[in-house]
Amino acid sequence: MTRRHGVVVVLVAVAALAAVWRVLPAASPAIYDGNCIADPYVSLGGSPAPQGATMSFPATAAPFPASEVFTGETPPQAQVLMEGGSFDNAVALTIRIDPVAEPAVKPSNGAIEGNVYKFSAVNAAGVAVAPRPNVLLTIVLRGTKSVPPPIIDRFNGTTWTPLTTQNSGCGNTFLASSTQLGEFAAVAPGGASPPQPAPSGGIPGALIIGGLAALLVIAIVVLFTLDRSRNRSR
Amino acid sequence: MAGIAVATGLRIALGGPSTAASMPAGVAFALALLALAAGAGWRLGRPSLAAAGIGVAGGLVLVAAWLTARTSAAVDLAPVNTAIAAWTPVVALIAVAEEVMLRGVLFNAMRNWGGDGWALAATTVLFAAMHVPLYGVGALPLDLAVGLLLGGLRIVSGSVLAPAIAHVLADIAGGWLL
Repeated sequence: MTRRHGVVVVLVAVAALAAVWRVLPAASPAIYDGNCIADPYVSLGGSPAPQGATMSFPATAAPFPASEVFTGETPPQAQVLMEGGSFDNAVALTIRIDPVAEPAVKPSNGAIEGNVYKFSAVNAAGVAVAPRPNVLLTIVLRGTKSVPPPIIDRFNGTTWTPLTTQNSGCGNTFLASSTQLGEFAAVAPGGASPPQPAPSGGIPGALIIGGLAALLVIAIVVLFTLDRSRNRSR
Repeated sequence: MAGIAVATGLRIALGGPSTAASMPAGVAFALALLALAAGAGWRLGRPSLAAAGIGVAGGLVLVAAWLTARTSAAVDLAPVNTAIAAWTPVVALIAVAEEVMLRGVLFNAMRNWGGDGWALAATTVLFAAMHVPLYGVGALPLDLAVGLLLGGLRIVSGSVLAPAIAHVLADIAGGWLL
């Protein structure tokens, strides 16, 4: 193939890319580690309903295994990552994640975005089992947006406690560590009405695209000219 | 191709359900690809200014195409924190490793065997296939289009440098631009 053929390939690819991105779900970040695809966020009470997750661990003398429990969406809307030894494995155990209704008590640090998920561990008799002392469980929740980045809060039945939260990547997912299970939610900081980006707060997309296109043309012309003159001078 | 499949399997095994966002799994995957490339005899060539320019242009095109698909007209920078600071070099390493193996080693091998057309087709399809376990079948059309673009940059520039730069720019923009 000649360089001209390569240019045609690039143009076809750009057209295909623009077409593909046009039909992707609105929540798709589109580029993340190359290509991250995220299904639209599924809210409790909507259709389809958000999924829960259950994983059972038989009683064994061996230490509790490093495990993950996660809901079935892409990416999972809720998951818990557990290191080996997180629970006493002497009794059979079931870890559950269930989307639940928002408690009447609201978090003081903002508004809940997305669903509240109840993370629980119960034995065969249905009695709640706590993780071993000082074990950190990683709670991963998907928010509905990344700006402003949400905080993961834990609800203990009475009050909400904000946890140190980090971006976890694809699909507005965020993670926080907790020594306890319970109810967790992503909370958009800033009170009942999460602040929306001001219209003038960002750079208009059209301006960026125009600028990038101009840069592209200039860069190609300049670099090919430089390369040609370098080759002539050799 | 088997080596790429093994490296992808390694990444999935290490990353679990968060493979796409797992930095240790990504680093292991990238190092495995670079080791494969070195084992296959791939060596760094002399970088060309034009290839670098084509790569920058290609990366800007990828980012611009993404921006046109967004529902929001405004662009903001991600808040700077430890997570994104650690993520940035990792994602760049993964992108470079993928390009060295695909548009470097595999492209050259396929071109010697059947010409640029076969090399373009094989690397594009493999690029898309290796991302399916991470992002699902729904990502296939997007990955095919991106793979085709990166392959086109490889042909235009005659170097793996161009698709590598474009890939890195696009990935980093995806993390930093909101």
